[in-house]
Amino acid sequence: MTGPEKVRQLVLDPTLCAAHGMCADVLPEVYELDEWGYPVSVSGGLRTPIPAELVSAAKRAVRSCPVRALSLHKP
Amino acid sequence: MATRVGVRLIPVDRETGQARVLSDLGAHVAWYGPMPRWGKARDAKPAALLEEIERSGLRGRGGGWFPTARKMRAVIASAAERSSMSSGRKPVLIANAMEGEPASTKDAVLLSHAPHLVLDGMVAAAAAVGAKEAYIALHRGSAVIAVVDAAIAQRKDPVKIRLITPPARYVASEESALAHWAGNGLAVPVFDERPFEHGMNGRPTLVQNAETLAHLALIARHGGQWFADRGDPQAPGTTLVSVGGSVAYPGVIEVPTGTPVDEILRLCGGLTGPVDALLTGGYGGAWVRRDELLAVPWSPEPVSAVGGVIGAGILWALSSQICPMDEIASVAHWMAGESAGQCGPCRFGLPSVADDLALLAGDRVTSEDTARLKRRLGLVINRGACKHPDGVVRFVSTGLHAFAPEVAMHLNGRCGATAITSPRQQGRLPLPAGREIPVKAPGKDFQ
Repeated sequence: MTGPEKVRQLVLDPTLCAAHGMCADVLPEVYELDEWGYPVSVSGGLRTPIPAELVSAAKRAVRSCPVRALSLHKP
Repeated sequence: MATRVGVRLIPVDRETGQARVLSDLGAHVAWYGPMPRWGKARDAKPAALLEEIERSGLRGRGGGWFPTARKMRAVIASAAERSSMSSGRKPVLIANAMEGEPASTKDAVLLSHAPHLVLDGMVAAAAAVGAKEAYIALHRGSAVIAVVDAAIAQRKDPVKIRLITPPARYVASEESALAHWAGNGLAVPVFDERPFEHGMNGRPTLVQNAETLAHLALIARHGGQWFADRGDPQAPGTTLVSVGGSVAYPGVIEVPTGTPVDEILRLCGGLTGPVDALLTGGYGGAWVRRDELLAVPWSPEPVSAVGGVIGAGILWALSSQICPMDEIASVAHWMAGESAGQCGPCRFGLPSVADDLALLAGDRVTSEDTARLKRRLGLVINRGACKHPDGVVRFVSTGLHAFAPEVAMHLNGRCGATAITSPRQQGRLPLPAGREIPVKAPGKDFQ
């Protein structure tokens, strides 16, 4: 296997997201903000595979979101 | 609204060539024959019906062209899973006749001529999945409400059919939005929930387009093989196409799938003037240049191979005399307003895209504006709970590509269209009334 193993999936519910932008602070490896302040994932979609070394940061991102728009799942 | 060349669904009189109106149940049965009483008898029968549907190869005509039998099996599996877990919630059927695409008229034409065929299909679909409740959704203010209401009143069906009228918003006809409106009155798409698992009031919900159900009513009568013998084997049967724009006889036409686009246009009296590109699939669809589309068989895969979309069966030939930038900007502006406003990229992104397009439709656009537009188009896709923003992006991106020479002219402060554009001009893309958009006055800046 090449590259780090993807162990989790980070899911963004776009109907909940209110552009607080905490996720981009806590998890800049995954999210950057668009011109309206909403997170854009490196994966280009709403589901982002999270490698093992980013799982704890992803958990922090889930907790930091004021509207609980993020959730971490087993793939 | 001309309706011609009925093949199977639309009851066209052979002698007069006119489409008949079979709103009377007796006339309906005389035309199509009696409906076998599927589901009324033993348990084996719904399974046998499902096998016929499988054999037919029927795919959904609402836009997705998803195999109908597979969707039904998913609903059945979801309901079985629930009942083994105790609560045992029966599936629900919703017939989707919302017809949210403004350029589509096929479901209204079908229902005004053969309402009982759609209702027969609902009875068959309900039997196949074991649904005891069935709803037919027409958008609020639809012209066929009275026809459908009267048709329901004439019938004695094993399943109770009710008419529901959600608001006439573009996204309200989206599957999850429809299922939720029927349950809780909120006609907005839902993230990460599939109606066949968790639809109306959390129950497994089968949502099928009205035309799909009409085909189903004929499959229930004549069998799957009969259906599969006509049309493109990859997407068998006949299909309704709403043809509009620069053709002699715009309207709804029924053709076997796989009929070449130029044959469909010929059946509508042919193009009435120069056309550079056609819109396929409606405002969530795609533009294709005329020379790339004419020889293509009207079936999902061949059309998609040239960048088009059949969607709900829309084909619009835009006259070269009409400014395509005006059309694209107007539709994008309207579609931005049709967003449910739940997701940021759609709520803010689509109006921004529409603003950029308004600049492009005017004569003061710069290459900086178009670069910003292209960047924004890339930003909006794959980020919504439903496919509304993705559809708009496809409509706009394919339009910029298909009308590239016109884009270049606008960048040089010129416009290739010869007609003076007015909101109600013949051949312009339809937008529901009361939503007039700013239009370009000749010789003036875009207002």
